[in-house]
Amino acid sequence: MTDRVRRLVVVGRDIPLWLSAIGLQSALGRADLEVRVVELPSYLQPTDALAAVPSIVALHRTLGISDAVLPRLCGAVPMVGQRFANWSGGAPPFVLGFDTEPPGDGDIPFAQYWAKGRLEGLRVPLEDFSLGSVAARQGRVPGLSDETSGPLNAGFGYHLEAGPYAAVLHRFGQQAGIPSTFTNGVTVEREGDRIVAVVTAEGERIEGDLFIDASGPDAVLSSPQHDDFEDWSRWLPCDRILTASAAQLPNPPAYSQVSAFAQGGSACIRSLGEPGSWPLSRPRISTNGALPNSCRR
Amino acid sequence: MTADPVRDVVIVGGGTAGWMAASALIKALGNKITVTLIESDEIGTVGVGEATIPPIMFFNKLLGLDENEFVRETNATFKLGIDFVDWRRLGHRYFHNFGLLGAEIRNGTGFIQYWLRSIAGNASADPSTFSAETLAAAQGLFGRAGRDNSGLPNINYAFHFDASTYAAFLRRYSERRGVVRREGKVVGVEQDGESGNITFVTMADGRRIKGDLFFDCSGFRGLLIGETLGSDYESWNHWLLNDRAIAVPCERTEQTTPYTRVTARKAGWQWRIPLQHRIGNGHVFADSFIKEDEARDILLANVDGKPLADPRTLRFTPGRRRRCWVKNCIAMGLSSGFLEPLESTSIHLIQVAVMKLIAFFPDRRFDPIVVDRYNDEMNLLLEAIRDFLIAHYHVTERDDSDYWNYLRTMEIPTSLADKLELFRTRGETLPGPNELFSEISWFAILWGQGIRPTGYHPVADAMPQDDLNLTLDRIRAAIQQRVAGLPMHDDYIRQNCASAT
Repeated sequence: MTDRVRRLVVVGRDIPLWLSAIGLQSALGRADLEVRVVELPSYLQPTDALAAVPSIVALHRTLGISDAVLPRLCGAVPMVGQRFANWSGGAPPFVLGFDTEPPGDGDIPFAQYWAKGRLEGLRVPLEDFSLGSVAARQGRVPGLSDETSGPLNAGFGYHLEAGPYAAVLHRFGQQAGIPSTFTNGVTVEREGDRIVAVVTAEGERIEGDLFIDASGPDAVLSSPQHDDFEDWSRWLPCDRILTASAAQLPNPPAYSQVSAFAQGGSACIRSLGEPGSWPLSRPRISTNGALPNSCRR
Repeated sequence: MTADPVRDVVIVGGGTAGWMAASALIKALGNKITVTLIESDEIGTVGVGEATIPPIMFFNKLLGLDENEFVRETNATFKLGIDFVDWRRLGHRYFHNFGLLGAEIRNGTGFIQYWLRSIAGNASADPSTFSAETLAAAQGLFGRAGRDNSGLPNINYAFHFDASTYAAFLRRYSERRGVVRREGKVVGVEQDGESGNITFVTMADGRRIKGDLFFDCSGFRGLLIGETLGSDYESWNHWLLNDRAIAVPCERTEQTTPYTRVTARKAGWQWRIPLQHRIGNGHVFADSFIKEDEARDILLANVDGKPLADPRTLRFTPGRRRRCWVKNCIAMGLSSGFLEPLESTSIHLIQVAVMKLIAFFPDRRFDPIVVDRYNDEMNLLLEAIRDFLIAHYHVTERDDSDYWNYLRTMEIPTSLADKLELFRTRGETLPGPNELFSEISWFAILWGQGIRPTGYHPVADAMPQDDLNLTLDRIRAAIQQRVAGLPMHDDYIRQNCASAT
């Protein structure tokens, strides 16, 4: 086992930084892997909110993060689907629910039977066969293992306030004993193609065997000589994000709203909950100021 | 309603492939299509004793078979894995078990990695105490034990059966559900002038049979896929030297072993497949390394009972049809390629071909995107099986014949070389999503053939030593308890599914 990676350095900021560090520490910390964090200043704005799909629940379970604290500490509310509005001409909005599809009769997907029914006059939209979609529209949240759901199986993710969620992860990482250094910037020390250390703006030199770049669009560890970023903007033309928040909605939905606009842009409206009482939450339309220049690559 | 649906399906050739295709199609699509199967009593089928692997359960489930009835009607026995004799070196044996090795480890990595850690480099460590199937096989035990609340491991199994009675069984199943069988030989094929699609096949007595979709189950000949549509055959003979098999059935022995045995010979290997009423035997060998007479002598000198028929010789070229689906014709069985039955994959490949075809069932436009996707997936599946087979020959210490010396030192496909390198350093081979053989199967073969990994997955080190010891003890105890509760294989058959004969 002489070639084992012993020193892992995660350089970055905010949620990606801490999730990767905590995940690696939890899987390999007891296997003689020393995980270190080099934390850069946050890019999160007070108005930033997140919609996390249900895999976050399993991730937290694996990492040992208790979801019970999330409503209180970061305004988490369960989210059971995403509602897409104005994406298809005059068609009404549809809800993409987080669930397994209903069982078909055989080895082909249920949607094939629905498509056949539609050609034969069925007027019920596909989403009405989705436990997650129906629950989302009614503002209900199916339990994780709800026996009343029968063969259907729905899950939920969360709407979260991004800054407070990053703070929760930060605290969790520190409690897990991950040493961290805060810095305003790093320079990279290389031997050939290989990174051997990062040096903080304050002059601290941190060596490692393996480095993870979780710095966001800055990609601080990427080599200036080998910047092979692949541009997909010809297919995905949006290149700016504006965030803002507004007063709470009277009846906060259990879904994210994703609306399309004429200029090809889109917006997400997400409701954030009040501590422990999500049905009465204080949603804000998430929002404001543009992200830093570095987002624009 | 689909715009241009396939209505008439014609299967050219019976045998295992033809009747598996017919039975599955009539079950899945019987109220929308007609299925006609053309076969001739004059043309023999290759079918000898056949060994299968556990995924055959999915096929039986698709057909809705009663398993005990199926076992009775095909003189079948149960199979827990394959006993490999003399493969690593003369006098050595190991078992390729069905099912798991150890158990799933939650929030960690695979069991094998923990086991590799636990043996601390001991090259003679034996993983077999962590396989219920291996332990049961060694003692001649078998019983069905599914996932239950006992906390004990389940028993994974497949079947040995008589391929000719299997085809007859599926024929009865198919004809009861409306498949029409036409007796006779196909002498002509008509194609559409524009599309090149096959429109009719002509039979010796002049009958013309019309179809929208054709299945070529004509065997090695590839009557439609090769002779008519020109899909060429790619030989893998330079990696898989064997190109002949001699088969002979013999009388059964007192105890019916719940596993297949394959014994390496100086220029090939010999199978032993126990059925309820007899034992199937065969010698697969390379014509260029051993004379047929000698191969026959070796076979007959190594059977457990009196031969029940004259030995039959079969010639083949290991390899594949480059495209199994061309225009409106799909090849299944031997017409689509041949891999020696060392890992019992023949019936599995037919099963995958049929089930994938149902999953991709076309309309009469035969969309090239669907056709290409089908061919790509079948090719990936086949290449990975090819690599798995080559590994049995290449990873060996045998140096007692030119045959083994060639195989041990030949250049292998890079896809296999990569797996072997990964296994040597990490104890894993990372099979892709289209591959049949799992990490557990690769481990069974590569460890059995003698590779000892120099490392294992770093995550395995995260478990404290006490936990590891406890976990391994607990898994081993559950396996022992499961095996101790199993009846003898013969008793189990007698009580549940004995054939009439």
